Amino acid sequence: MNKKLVLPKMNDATKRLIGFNIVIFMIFALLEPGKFLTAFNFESMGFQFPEAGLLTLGIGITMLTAGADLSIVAVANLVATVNGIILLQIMPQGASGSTLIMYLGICLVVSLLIGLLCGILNGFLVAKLGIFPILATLGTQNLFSGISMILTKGQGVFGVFPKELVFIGNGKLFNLIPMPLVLFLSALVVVYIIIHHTSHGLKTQWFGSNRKASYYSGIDNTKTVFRTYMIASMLGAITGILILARTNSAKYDYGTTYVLQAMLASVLAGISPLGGSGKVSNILLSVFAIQMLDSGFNFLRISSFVRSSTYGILLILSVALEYFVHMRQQKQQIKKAARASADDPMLDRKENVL
Amino acid sequence: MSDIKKRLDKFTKSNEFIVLIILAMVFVVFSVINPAFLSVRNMYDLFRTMIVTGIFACGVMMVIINGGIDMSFMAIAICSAYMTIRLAVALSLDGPFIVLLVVSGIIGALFGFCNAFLVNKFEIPIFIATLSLATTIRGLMLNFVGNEYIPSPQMPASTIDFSKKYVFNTVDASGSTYGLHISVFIMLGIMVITHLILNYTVLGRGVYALGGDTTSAKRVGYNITRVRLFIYGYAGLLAGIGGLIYVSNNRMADPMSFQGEELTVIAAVVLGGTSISGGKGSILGVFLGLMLTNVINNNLVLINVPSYWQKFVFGLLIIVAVFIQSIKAKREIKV
Repeated sequence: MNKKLVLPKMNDATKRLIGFNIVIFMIFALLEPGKFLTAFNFESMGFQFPEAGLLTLGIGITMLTAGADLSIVAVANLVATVNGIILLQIMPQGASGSTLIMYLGICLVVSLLIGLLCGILNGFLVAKLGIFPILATLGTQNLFSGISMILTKGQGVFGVFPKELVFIGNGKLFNLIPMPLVLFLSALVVVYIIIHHTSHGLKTQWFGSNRKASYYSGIDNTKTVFRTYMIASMLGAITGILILARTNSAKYDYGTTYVLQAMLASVLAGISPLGGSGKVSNILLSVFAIQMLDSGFNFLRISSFVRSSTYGILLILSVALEYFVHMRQQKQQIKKAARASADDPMLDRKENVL
Repeated sequence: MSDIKKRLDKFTKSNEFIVLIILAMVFVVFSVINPAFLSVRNMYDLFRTMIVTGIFACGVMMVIINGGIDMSFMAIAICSAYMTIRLAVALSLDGPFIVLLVVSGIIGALFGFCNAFLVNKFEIPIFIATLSLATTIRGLMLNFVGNEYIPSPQMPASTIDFSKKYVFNTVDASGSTYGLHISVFIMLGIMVITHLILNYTVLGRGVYALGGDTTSAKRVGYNITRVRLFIYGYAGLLAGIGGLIYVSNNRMADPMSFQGEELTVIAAVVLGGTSISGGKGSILGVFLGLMLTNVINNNLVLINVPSYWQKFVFGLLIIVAVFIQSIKAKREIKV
């Protein structure tokens, strides 16, 4: 009995995800040990999944409030586009030293500013006006990618960027850990602390599970939701910098499928799209499982089309699994209750079964 | 007399009325800048761009009234249409167009039943169920059925014939003929049927009841499972029909089409006043919403706005429309 209390509390989703990760890892380790079980493979995965991870983080926290920020990829692309224009067209060619640092500083400030403004607009529409989140952010998604489209006349931005920027996307910290991974993990820690260890996070979850109850317990619902969309847009802005640094290019329609993938990854991580429940740290596990599946399929030369359907299959499987486990538990409880009532003739059987 | 006044009063307070006003303003602005916008030819074109989205919108609307967002109709549409054409090509079948339409519709309805199964059995939120179904079937189709587009010489002859069927043919000054495509009437027919089902059948009222409050609908005696089966089956059927009309009119079947376009149709449906929290919506609103989004998406070039402004204007339109709707809703609560 005491032992159970010592174990860290894991929710069902965490257990399920760890199971998924182990199973996927085992399968590919057995099928393709020469390619899958290499440091190189895991390193390249570390470069690939942070982008999707950051976006999943942003969409995940908005899903906690029973919404979804569809505009987050558009924010990322807008940031990438504007930074690309600053560095390629405004900054003098071959700038170095203090000029370069100044321009990189400007880029950072501009990125954060864009994230802030986009977040304010989303927050205003969703929290202040109470517009259904998916619709409001669908509008802003078109607006933001529309601005990137106008800025580049529908073309993209690409070219040679300063190596300090490229380092963020392609370099390794201490020659060991991929920079994108560092970026993602630090964002994860920050968001984890915000959601699970601050009053704002608690309010977010309360709002998500029952907005009326949270309203009547004196929580400023508007402020809570407003902040959540601000954080999501900020994460989008960070992703934008990463996209530009990693791909050396920016385009208004880059990664449009990320939105749906991020939503699926959030649900897989056990974040209910109806709001309220969910653990942010699970996002790491779900995104990593999907990345392993992706890379593993790649080694096995399974067509990209099947790969694209794995998200859906994985999700259905996960939900079905949850359902059957839940049903079994319920049946066992009913049996237990029935047995108990059979033992005790004084108890009303019906009451116990219920 | 007072009855008519009451109805008029009700209409001016509805969401449909707001959309109508915005649409009228857009029409005025467009036609002042370029009178060619109001030409019969352009109106025919406008209707033609509405055909496929219009058919989808009826199904999407039903799902939204039921209280969920359908993300699968585009995938269902292209899967059923592509599979139907593939089947017809493989068996070198060249039946009448209506047979192909029925086959595609049935395949679509079966996919719809899958959605219903996921929602009924596992109680998954509709948005997630349809999203996962969409990614699953699209990927599987591309891998197992085919991923190359079928060019027009290989398409069944009946589909090509269908794409050339125009009515009200007119010859303009320069000698070229134009007309209204026949599938516009299919769209209008489907809209009328959907309207009748929703308003004049027990099942249709069940769709509203379920969207308003599932528990109450159950208590009243609706079989929730069966109503859902109908909703998703119907949405799937329409998706299949719309998909086949799309590939026929395009005269080629591209399995990659319809990627990520779901939200445009959903936006049109919601603009028309369909309440996304369920229980509300009308075909008239959907029709107006569709017209508005299609004018913005297809006719900006006519008023000399470069095409790369389209996304921005579309986004602005959605925001303005939902802004007005929410202000109105808030005012109603105060009154």
